[in-house]
Amino acid sequence: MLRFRSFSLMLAATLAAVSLGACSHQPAALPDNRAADAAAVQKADADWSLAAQSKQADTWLAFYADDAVVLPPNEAMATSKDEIRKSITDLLELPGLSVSWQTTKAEAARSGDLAYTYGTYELTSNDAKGNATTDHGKYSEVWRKQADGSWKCIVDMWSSDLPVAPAPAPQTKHRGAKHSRRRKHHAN
Amino acid sequence: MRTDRALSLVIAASLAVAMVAGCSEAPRPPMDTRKADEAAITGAGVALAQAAEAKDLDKCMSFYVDDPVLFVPGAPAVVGKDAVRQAFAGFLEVQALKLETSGLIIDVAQSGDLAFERGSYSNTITDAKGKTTTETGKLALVWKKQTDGSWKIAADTNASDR
Repeated sequence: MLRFRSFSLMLAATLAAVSLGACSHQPAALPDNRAADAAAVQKADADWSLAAQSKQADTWLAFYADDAVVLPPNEAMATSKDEIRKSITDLLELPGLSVSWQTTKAEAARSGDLAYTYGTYELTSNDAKGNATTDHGKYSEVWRKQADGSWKCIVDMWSSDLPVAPAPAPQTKHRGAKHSRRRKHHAN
Repeated sequence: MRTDRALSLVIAASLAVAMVAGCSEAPRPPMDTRKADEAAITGAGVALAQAAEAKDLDKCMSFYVDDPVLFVPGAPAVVGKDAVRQAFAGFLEVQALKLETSGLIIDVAQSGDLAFERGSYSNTITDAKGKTTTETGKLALVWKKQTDGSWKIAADTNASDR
């Protein structure tokens, strides 16, 4: 009986040691790559703004994931590739266009699959009379890490900072422009 | 001796069981809570709209993080809780509000710390003079899970359709 008890004790002690020891060498948690992911997304956003200087739709569209949606002001949401191409092409074809943007904030999820950026843009284009008009506003973007490790934009939204024009002028409506002439507040 | 051998076998078997059982937990990635997170965010969005319709400013603000940003068309970015609260107060200064959303899609990060919601909204506003207008547009929200497990809005960004 004495012997049996000592074996039982040994068994219990061994089990405890194994339970503790066997797992201590396993990684406790996934590595935290949030800072690197945020930096990568911010760089992708900066690259995008630079690429936009070419005013080529294909160059711009390459920054979107296959399932991206574009939520521009003054027009409906663009959810298909054709709709997105049309919206961006209309924007890029604005006469005298100059557009660029800068990230204010970039943040990635702990799991490194999703991230977001927001920032400010500046846009200059010519009005119907050929006069340069400048618009500025803010944007928000959601990014998804792709299988190859690159980041692509899945949600792209922007709106103008400029207040609503007091008298709605019936002149040319620049479809696709980053212009918003309606002041509003929206809760959700 | 036979007892010893039997015990040795028991120990060996127990070791094997303990190693398998003990280790199967550790390398497993954090639990995937995305379904529950999505439901919680949907619930928070509905509750926020209800609070706005009830013109309960404090309740509305309880759905925002301490350092939120609010993007609305026709005005610069609204940054910080006080500024967002002020903008919200203006938004609620109407006779009646009806806030509706549609086509909402929520992407929750695997780690369940960040989530992104997008879709369409339709705001029907009855102003102080009793005039009712409906405005439609798009919304994109950044949600953050709080230490208490609740979800709050870090960025509330909007673009009108017209």
